[in-house]
Amino acid sequence: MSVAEMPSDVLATLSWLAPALLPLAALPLLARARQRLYALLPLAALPAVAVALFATPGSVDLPWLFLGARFGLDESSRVFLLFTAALWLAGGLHAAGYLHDDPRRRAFWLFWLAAMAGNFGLVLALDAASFYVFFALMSFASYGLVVHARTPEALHAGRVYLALVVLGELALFAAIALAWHAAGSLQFDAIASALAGSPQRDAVIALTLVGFGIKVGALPLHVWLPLAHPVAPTPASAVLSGAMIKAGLLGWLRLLPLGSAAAPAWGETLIALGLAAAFAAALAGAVQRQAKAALAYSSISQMGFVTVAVGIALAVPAAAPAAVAAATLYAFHHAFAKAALFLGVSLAGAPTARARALWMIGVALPALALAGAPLTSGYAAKAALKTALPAGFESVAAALTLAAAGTSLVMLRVVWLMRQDAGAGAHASHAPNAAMWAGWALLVGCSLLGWAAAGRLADLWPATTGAWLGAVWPLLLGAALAALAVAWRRRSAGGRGFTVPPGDLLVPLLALARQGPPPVPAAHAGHGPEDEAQAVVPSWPALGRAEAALSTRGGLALAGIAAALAALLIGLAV
Amino acid sequence: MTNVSWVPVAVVASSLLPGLVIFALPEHRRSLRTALNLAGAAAKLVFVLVMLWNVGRFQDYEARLALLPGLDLVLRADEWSLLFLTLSALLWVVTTVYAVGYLEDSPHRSRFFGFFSLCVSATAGIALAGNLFTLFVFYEILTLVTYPLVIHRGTPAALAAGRSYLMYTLPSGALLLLAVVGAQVLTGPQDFTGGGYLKPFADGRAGMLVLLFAALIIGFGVKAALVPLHGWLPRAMVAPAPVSALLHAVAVVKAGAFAILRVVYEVFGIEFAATLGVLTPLAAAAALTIVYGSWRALAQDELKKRLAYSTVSQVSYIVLGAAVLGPVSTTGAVVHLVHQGLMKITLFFSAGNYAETLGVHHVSEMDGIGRRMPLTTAAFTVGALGMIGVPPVAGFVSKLYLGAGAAQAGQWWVIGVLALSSLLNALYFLPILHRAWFRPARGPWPEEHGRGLDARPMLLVPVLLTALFSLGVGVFAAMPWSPLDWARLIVRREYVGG
Repeated sequence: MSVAEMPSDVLATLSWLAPALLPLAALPLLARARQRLYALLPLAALPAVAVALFATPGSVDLPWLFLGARFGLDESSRVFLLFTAALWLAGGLHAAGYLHDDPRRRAFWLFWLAAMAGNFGLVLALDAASFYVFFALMSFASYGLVVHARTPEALHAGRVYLALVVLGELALFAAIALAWHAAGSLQFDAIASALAGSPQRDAVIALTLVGFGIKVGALPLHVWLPLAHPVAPTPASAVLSGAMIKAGLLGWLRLLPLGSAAAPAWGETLIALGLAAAFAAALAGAVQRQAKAALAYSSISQMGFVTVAVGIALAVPAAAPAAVAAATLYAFHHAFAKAALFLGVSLAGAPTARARALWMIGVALPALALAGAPLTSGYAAKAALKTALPAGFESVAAALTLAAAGTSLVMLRVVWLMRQDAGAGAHASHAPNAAMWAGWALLVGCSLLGWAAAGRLADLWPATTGAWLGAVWPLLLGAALAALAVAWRRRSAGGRGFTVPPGDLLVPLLALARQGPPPVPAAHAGHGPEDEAQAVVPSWPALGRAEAALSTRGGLALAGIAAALAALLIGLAV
Repeated sequence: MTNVSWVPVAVVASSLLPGLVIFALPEHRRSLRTALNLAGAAAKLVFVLVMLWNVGRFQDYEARLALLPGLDLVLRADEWSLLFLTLSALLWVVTTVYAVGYLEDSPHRSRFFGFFSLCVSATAGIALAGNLFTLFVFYEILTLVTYPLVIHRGTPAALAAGRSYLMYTLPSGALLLLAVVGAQVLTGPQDFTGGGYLKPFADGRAGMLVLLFAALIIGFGVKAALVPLHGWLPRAMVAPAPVSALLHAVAVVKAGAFAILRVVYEVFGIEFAATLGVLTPLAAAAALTIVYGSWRALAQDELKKRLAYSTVSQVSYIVLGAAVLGPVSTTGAVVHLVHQGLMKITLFFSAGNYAETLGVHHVSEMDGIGRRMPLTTAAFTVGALGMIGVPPVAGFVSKLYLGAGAAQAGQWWVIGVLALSSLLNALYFLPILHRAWFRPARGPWPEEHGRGLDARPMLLVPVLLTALFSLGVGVFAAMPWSPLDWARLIVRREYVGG
């Protein structure tokens, strides 16, 4: 290949690259940023919206890019691009208002645009190397969004997030290297077909599950979500929980041999983990004290449902097409509903009664959708998921229905917490303004449009009376549980109440790690506070001393070795 | 086809002659000295690019001088030579500009730039060496002309570092001499050959060949800083930043790694080396070096020392790739020779900028430095992420090739070593980036020299260029004429054409 043979159709190339390139091209503008520019930056998501809506499916090979790249769109990635682009656009609008007088807004927009470019790029990437590139861009850039506030909580959340990002990167590196070897190609379609019969299959599956599972928030890799989402600026939480979390799902769909190989052990493990997440995270979410932490747990729980679908596709190849379609629909539904709820958090303190009423409706609708109420996208997504279950998985269907009760419990808790926050004036520093309302309204509108769209793919309401009952009882059970909890709290007035600290499993682990004496490497003495990352690894000062001794006398040792080798060589030659 | 040609000689001379003239120049002739340096560097770059173009079309150059019957001094431009030569010629230009800016107004500049040029000539000789004897000659010259650069500052620490450097390199030189003579006795005059030339001489001499391999690897391993032969390198970081760049990226460490590649592929031949059973110990040594270097880097607070240990670790990626049989792994090893050079020189230039502009030498002083020197820190960030292997900086290309190559050879543990090393890299680089970008500055900077927002242009432009290169060769890795493309060319020579 030579440069001269580059695809002649530059326009086609550009249309696939523009969604990722435009935000990157906007970065230099930040060097001399004015207030007016910040208002325009959200529009950098528009090419992605246009591509998602109007582009005909297709692809372009760019043999000179990365390790030989292919970009394009197929029917399932169009869905991903659609909600991803809409979320970044609406989130950007909201952010323009939310951060209009923030002193660090330039840094925020830098990381925002970079993460956005990464997110769009990975949706359009059709080969593993390009996907890996944009996934890394998104993951590392979001660190800047998580720690934006620079509070101790934000920095702690950032550290946990970054540690998991690095672990994920390592797993992905190994997975891609193995898959590349197995398939002899980095194109996803070649990998999918080659992996089925390859001896590396299990290793690739395991590494992919871990690598992307961190982003998805799969148990037990979910610990960063409830730490990072509450501390990030609200629009960043919305895209983290709505869009970026789905990038992990897309990675699973791309790299796992779904439909071509049966891996029942992996599939069943994944189903079990998904169900565990659906229940445990819902319960943990119901006892949170911050709306955004509860929403984060709700995301873990909802991604548990999606994980179940992926597990089905992995375990039963025949069921894979339906399961993948269900997972995609679920991702679409959850993205809009969850992002609308997150943005709703920062609008809770509306001044007028009319605005408050509008807000209440706009929050209640996505909450109902997440709980899976009939007539919403949530019902359609859950119905699609249940019809995708093959024979022999009836117990999973029952468990999913029961888990929906947990979801409605969390949603009630979220709405209650939001109202409480509004009453306490928790959002005084970010008073709602027009841009924030606009971003949120756009999302709620999209969410409602999404209901109609979901209705074309699956049933929006139950067909029979019995089914109506089956759809409604989890909601009622959730409400009843909530009522019981409230009554119990009233009776035990003065008690602190039960809660799960955000980060759940990590909290005792970190406490355990801090029990031991803090390792202080000698080389650092007198140079200020330790970096936690370095304190984790013992530096063994004795090793340093031994090495210092070696480096002064190592030459002599080397001379000795040389003499010995020389004697041997001569001895052998003679 | 091979042409008898003066061009390889001219490449060596293009830095040798200016170097000799510069020694004779008085200290204050700054502009003449700079002009000579840049003219030499530019001439060399032109020669190298012309050769690159022709070698890319399978037309080699060769110049041969018979010293004794059967003992030829051979300068030959083949695919291997051009890989190393292009890297060092390109980085020499950049480093010269940087060094002129860095050493502004410091004493002994004629001496410095004289030896600097000689050092680059010796490196060109190593790159172009067509047989083991020529390689040895230039390799020893490199040892001698680097010593004055290491002790340039003349401080006790610098002198101690110089002593340590000689204590490692001189015995290794003696060992090399012995090995080269041994090889000569064994095989008679032989040039480097694709696929190696030792196999026909193997009958009944396997034990001796193993010893020969060990002697060559230990001899060259000193400069390549294989553990436990690496002791001199972290001490040598007391030298000025341009020298560190030269040691770590352009010349010395690279020369060791390059020589090891030549020995493995063109003297023994990778397949023959595998049948001798010497590859596994080599891979083990490289893996140990990779992990140990990263581990030690963690404990360093001095920025340049941390970078030095990082070099110890990263250069052995090349050796590890060479020690794993298979074309994919070879590609990774060869391409990392270039990629590591680009990324590491970026890091050392940045470290030099911090020291020159703000007097910052320690990681713990770097809080908030990104706000004060954003462009330098951006370049540093590119280099550091590349070292970890974060795409799309160059490092991820080599790492993926090394990983897939390990899979191809069935050596799964290599992937584990690479992952572990990346983790350690992340542990010692990410905290620096966090300090630089996300922490507020502690107070006024200790010694503020530069005015304006960043380092002086002479210091800033080189580091931005090398950072762009590091990014570019990763983003456009699959382009024709990219380092990766060239590495594939070399692989064809070793596995198919051999």
